Amino acid sequence: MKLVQTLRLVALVAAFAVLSTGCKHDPKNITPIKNKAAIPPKGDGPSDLIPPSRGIGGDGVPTGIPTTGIETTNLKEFDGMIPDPSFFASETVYFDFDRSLVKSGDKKKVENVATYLKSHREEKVLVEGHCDERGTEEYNRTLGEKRAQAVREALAKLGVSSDRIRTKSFGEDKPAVNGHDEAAWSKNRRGEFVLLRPKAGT
Amino acid sequence: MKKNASLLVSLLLLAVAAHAAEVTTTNRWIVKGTNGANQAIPISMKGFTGEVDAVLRFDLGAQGFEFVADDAAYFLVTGKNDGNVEGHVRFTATKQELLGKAYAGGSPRTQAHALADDIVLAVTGKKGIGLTKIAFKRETGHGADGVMAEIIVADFDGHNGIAVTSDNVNTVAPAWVPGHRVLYYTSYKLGNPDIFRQDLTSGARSVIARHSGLNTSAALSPDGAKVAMVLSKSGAPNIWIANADGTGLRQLTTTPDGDSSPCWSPDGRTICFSSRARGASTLFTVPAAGGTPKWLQTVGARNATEPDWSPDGTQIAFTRQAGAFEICVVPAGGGEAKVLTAGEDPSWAPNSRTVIFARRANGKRTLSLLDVPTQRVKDLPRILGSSSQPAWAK
Repeated sequence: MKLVQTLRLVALVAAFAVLSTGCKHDPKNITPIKNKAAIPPKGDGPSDLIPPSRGIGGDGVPTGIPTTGIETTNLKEFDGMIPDPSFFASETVYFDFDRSLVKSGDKKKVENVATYLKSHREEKVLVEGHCDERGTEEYNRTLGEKRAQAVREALAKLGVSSDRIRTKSFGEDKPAVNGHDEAAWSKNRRGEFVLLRPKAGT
Repeated sequence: MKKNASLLVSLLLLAVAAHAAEVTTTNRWIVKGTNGANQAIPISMKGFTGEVDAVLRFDLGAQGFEFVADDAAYFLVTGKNDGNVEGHVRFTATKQELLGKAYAGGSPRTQAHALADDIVLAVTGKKGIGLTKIAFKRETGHGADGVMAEIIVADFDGHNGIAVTSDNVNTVAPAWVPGHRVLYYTSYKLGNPDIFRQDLTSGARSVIARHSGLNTSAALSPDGAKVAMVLSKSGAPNIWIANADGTGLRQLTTTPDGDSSPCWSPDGRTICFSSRARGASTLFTVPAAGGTPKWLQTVGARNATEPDWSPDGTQIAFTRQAGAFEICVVPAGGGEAKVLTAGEDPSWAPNSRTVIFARRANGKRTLSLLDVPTQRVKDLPRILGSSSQPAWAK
């Protein structure tokens, strides 16, 4: 390994020695730069601006983005239901820092949601899991999911079929309160219930 | 000829030995100082102006070079950019020219990046990063569902950025297919965090993971054939592996308290990830083919998340998450961790020495570069707005 590197070094220096002879200020060695256009179109305009994307979203991509032959586990059962985020707004549960245990003080709120769902069998619920900003982004996305799952399990224990409960983690990206202190963080570590009503006509 | 070259090598080494306590000949100009830390390579530069001068200083500064006065420099860079860029590098002690090149075509920025790469190669023997690309998440606003962000692709120095998504939802965690202009990322476009694959050349995209619960943190194997990711379809968020198109799914870990942020070893055999298996977050490795996860110790840096394996296989960079965030590195086999600088979510450059990472201040996120051997930090331009989750194309 070391020998190879030494040889490479010698070869490199030798190459420069040849290169540099008699051409110190007149390099014959011109490197053409090809605009690879790796991300088309690149353009040489003001580099400080971030232009909008092309060929994506607005123009070109059909609304139904193809899925490549994967199973889409029961998400379809929730598609098209009408979300009502305010219905259970007072039942939001809160978590301790970096924990995903539903606190005993919040059990009553979960019971309220369970009672409603058990008497409205055509309706479902989305449990949103949220975090404060003190974790890294992807770690928080998993922590938010664990919180949503803990709430789902609490609902299931109270007799709500878990196939009526969908979980969704927002990580730290949907804070309830802006701020960078415990007062804000304690309100952001939460699980929210979004009532899902059947679409009209079903 | 060979004799001359050998003589030159000896002279070079002698000159460096005169400047520093210890010299490693395997890494030609990584000069070890008396304190054991790697020192910057002293260089002087003149003749360039404006944007070209700025690009050269940024590129070289990000790769372990330090600009000093002529008499303190090991290397002298001269050149001009009236019209095309032209540059020379001389070894100070012998006045021997190591590089003499001119460039044609492209933009002045691109020519400057190309010269910077040639200087890095001439001095260190290693390929520079001047012409590499990064992808990252950039916040565009706040909507009813919280942060909205798009995926941006830019030059490694943050210039020439282009939004490759425009969905007006939260779009996060970009990951490159090695060697290809293809990105994977997590998008909330379909009402759930799902993993998308997007070909940047054609714009075509598909959903490769849309299972119930969380689908995120895609990481492509070095050969691009497999994707590791975090799914919660069967319970806790754990590490799963699938073919690049999302088929052939199998569960790699089953930690009840959850796992996050998978990355691949450069030989494609091992996955490193962060896990709650030991209570607080720690790093683990597991064979990509399946097996028992093994604790990877990060002595001196608890609460380890967001590992990223260096392309040369020797080190793992990660985030220590303890109140504040800090970028750390640990030998790939585990051991003593080094805490390098404040920041999170490190991603290695192809040169296995520079790392891009994010920092937070005043509710805003910004990107910076860390030269790991010298521990020097350079900030990307603030014009990028609130940006995080960088991924370096390899």
